Amino acid sequence: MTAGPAAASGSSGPAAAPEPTRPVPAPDERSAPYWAAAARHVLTVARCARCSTYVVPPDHTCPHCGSTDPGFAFEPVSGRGTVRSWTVVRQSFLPGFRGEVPFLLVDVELAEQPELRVIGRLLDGPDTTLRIGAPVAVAFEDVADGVSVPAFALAEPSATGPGEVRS
Amino acid sequence: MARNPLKDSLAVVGVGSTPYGRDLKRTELSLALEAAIGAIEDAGIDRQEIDGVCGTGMDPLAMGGSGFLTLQGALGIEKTTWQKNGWLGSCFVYAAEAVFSGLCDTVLVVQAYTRGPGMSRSAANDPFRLRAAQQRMAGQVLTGQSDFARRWIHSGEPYAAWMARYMHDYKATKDAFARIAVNNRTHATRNPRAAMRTPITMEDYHASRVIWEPMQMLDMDVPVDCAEALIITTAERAMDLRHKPVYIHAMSLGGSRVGEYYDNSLGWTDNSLWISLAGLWERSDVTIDDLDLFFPYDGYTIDTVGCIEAAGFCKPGEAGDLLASSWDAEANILRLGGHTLLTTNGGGLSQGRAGGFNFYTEAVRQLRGAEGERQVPDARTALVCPGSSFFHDPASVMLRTD
Repeated sequence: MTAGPAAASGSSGPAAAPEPTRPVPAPDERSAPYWAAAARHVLTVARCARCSTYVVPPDHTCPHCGSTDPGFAFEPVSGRGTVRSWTVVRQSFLPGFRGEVPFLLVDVELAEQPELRVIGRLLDGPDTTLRIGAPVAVAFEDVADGVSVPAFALAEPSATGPGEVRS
Repeated sequence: MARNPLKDSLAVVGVGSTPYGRDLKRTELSLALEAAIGAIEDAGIDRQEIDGVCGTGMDPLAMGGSGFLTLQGALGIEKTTWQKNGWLGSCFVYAAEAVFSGLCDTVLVVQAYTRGPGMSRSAANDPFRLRAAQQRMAGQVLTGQSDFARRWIHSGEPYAAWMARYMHDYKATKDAFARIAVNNRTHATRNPRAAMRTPITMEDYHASRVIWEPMQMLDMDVPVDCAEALIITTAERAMDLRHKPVYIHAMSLGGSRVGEYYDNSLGWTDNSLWISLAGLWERSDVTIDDLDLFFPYDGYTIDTVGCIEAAGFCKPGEAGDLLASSWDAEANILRLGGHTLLTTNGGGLSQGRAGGFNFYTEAVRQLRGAEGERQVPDARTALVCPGSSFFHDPASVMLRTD
């Protein structure tokens, strides 16, 4: 009577497809600068050229000032923030992540701006003892040649806490 | 009060449902057609009376799967003056709007759900399901959107983080979620359509496998192959048809300034679920004290907690206490405020995942009053709330009978 998806239980069927590998980012024109910076282990966040608000993710308008010509540019950020919540993924339903579980995902509020949030893995591992508000710093996973994905690692408490707006 | 010119002027006159199964080895279209034909026969109308069709899915393309063009052709409906595809609970609202506005008089809404590749072996071996999933992964459906926008096509892990945050902020225990899981399963044991009919206890819930901490297997709806369909027409026409009309009393959708991204979702009480339910109460003469049946969304039990609180059964963060005091230990079900029954079909958690659409068909059957051993005595009002808080457009619909 288990409700768990059969294919994710580890058993393979008679005609099981080959196990897909973890997908890598496929940068497009808009996201290319973000991924280029990530490859250099620099976390960037799009910033509105009109009102200087950081926006994740950048779309066609600025949700803060409403500009329809926000001229978003990716700017390096400190990468420091605090844990807003988290989950330990023990079973993955997406192709290419089955061999990666368990892993810990953190919802991080970045120090640069209230409610500026980024989701990423916590590289300290799934058994890490966490609490809401724990300080973290950006870290990077090198997933392919020249491709790195931003993640986080536990950090020492910093003087730069969330809530400080640099604008 | 907000304007509500459509109050009680529309009615649901036909419902159709397929069996629910973990693997029915059938195509989405065959399930959709079975439900559609069931709804037409239940209404007792000629299929050519249908002049509006809402098919399944968010894709803008009308063809394929169980989209409206495919459905209309397969059902042999000659002419429609309104068509759309939709999903979750909101498609019901769109279809009702179409009848109210006069774009059509009698609308068929069909929602088919099948387990995606990766959720079962047979699903993975179905080339049609696989191809659709590959196209989605490649972003081909969402043409014109950036790499960032495509990131919402992922699984539901952030709901687990919401659950963790809820428990932290409100000092809630897992018992709140357990009671929802047990309530829905208890009702499902009496529902012959339900995929999961083995009774469970609170202990079973707590012992269930952890999927995304703190979310456990029994917090999550059950992916199934199924389809649901219903027919909406004017209250005037409904008077001539064979069943007691189930009137659409009030409806509301919900949208917030934060759309489809998990990353920048709003606070617990700021998201679109609260907006949808506030909009409903502003339009409804039926009050929360009059409510016989309540169908809060249960894709995850944290959604249900959100729905219960947003509907106003308790203050934000107090669902744990409310559910404890509403627990009927003898029957193993919830009675909110000592009266209102929740999810009498078992919902997504136990009947099976239908995007909440099985809430509508169950509500209609109960309000008709002819469900035999399953019948809730004197059920006259039902609040249906399918659709969750983030990127699902939540709908709130009040149904009633005389």
